[in-house]
Amino acid sequence: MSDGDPGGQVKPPRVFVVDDHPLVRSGVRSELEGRVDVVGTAGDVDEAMAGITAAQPDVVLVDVHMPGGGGAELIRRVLTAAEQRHSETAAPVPRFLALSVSDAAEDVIAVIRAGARGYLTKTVSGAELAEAIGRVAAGDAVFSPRLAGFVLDAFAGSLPLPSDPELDQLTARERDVLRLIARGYAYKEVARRLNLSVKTVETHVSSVLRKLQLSSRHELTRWATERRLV
Amino acid sequence: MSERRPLLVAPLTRRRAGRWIAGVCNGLAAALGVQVGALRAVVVLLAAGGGLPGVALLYALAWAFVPPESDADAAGRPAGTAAQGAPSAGLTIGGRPADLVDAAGVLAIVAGAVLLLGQFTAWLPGQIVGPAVLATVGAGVAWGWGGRSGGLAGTGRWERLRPLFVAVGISLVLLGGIATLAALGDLRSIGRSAAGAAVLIAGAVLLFGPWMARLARNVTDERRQRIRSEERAEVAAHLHDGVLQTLALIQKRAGDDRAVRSLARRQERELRSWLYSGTNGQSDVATVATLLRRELDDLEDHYAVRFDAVLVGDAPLDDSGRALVAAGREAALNAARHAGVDTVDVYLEVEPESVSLFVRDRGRGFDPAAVPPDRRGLADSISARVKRHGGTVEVRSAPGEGAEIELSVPRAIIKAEERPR
Repeated sequence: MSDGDPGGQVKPPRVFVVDDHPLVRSGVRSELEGRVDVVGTAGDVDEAMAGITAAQPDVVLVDVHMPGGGGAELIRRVLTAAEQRHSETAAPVPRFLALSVSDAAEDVIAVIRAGARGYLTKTVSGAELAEAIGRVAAGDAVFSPRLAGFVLDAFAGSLPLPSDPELDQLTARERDVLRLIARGYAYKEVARRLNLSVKTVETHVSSVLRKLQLSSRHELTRWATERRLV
Repeated sequence: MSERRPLLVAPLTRRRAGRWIAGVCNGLAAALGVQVGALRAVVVLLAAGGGLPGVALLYALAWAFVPPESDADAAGRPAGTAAQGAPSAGLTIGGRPADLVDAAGVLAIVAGAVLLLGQFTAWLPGQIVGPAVLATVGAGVAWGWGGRSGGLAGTGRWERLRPLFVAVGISLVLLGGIATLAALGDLRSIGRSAAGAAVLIAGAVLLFGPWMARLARNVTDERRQRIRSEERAEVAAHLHDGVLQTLALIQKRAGDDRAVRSLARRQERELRSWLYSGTNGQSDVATVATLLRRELDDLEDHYAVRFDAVLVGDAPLDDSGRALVAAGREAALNAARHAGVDTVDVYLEVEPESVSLFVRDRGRGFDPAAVPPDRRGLADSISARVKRHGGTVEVRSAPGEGAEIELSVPRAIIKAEERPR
């Protein structure tokens, strides 16, 4: 699944797994064996903070729901710590990929908005997961069908009151890409279907992610609260 | 103190952290949202200005009736607010049994009161001050040390001494009452009996009031506890009926891959709908999304296949929606039967003008042009159904490349006037 991906021949990404269930940790570790370099695991936010500082991974797999704050809290703390350190050393900031069984849309969106570069459900196969990790390590975004659905849902029904139309709306192309992902298409299949290069698809997905993280639209908040209530 | 704020900013409790005596001022200050230092200054000034008996009585009543802050509350409160405005540790001695400190507080008050009242005899008939103080001490001992179920009196050797404390307390109260009566002996006889009755009633209130108040508090606590344990029992029952049974079945049929998978999937669905019963439980609200989900769940029960459904938007169910879901079910059934895969992607999107449904598998695929004419499923159950409602059907497939069925129906015209635009 990674033709033309130059990340293949350099050394595999260093991955840190954070999940409060030991079973999931060991399961993910064995699924990823040989595909990426799992440098550590942690069971809660505090443990993860220490482990990430020590192991300096490229990518952190986080669970959305955890005792002690969950994935969003961990991401916020790591990013804040990295910001404070920034003046002295240029230690690499890890990238985050959320991995969860959660169905609650607002929790998933919260983790994305905290800074995760993607969201996958735990039913994903080892190969798909490894590919997604490579993508995130390269700085791209990873949308599972479910996340694409959440995002489409969040941006749908947009009333004409956005403060920053640039951020608060998806372009027609971005919408097309997300729809295909929601339908279960892989990036490569999306590219073929829309006559784009895989790189362009990645660019669209990354810009959707950026909009999601930057937009302050009321719609998104309203949508999230409705999700909890409905 | 601003004008529009509610009078009480926190529930009135006696706060142990940072208290001087029993935490009354501390708790009151927190409840009123004022600086505890200022409140204490006012209280001390009032007392020094001649109001000491009144202040002491009010304080004692507050002590008796204001519930002490529970440990959970104290722990939940950030440390900063506890210490705010109360730098003095006062009588809070770390690790010392709190009741001992309570008792020391009583004695300190009483001693101070006796000393001070000696100088204000002009203000009150001096003879009754001493006995009244005596009675107060008695009440304090009786319910402070004797009647408390938890705390110091509830532990070890103090437990054995409890009757002694109660006895001492009651005798002190009686002694005080009698002494007061004796002191009032030179008053007229009408007043005498009235005073006697009043003193007895006051004694009874002092003795039993706090006890009854505490009893009422205990009852509330117990009720809360019971509700909590009932909830836990309900969760346990649910887990037992569902999850544990399924796990047992899975162990029994560990060799049967398909059965295990479909059991696990069914249980997962069931648990999810219970957990998030608000979002996708078996609500009777008829919408396109709920109907589709129900149909897919039903198929999953019969075929060892998992439908990864992504549903965007929703709409009330009408005829065309029903037709769309029925056709979608047929498409999903085909995928489950013929594709030879264990997951199928389903995507539903409700837009203002139309509802679209995609069923996609990565299975063996087929050539849509080469479907034998006797296989009517695709033609009748899917195409005809959707087209009857003005919809469109698109089939994308080739041998070895999986298949995708795209169904779309326009939304009913009625919707046009419902929409604001």
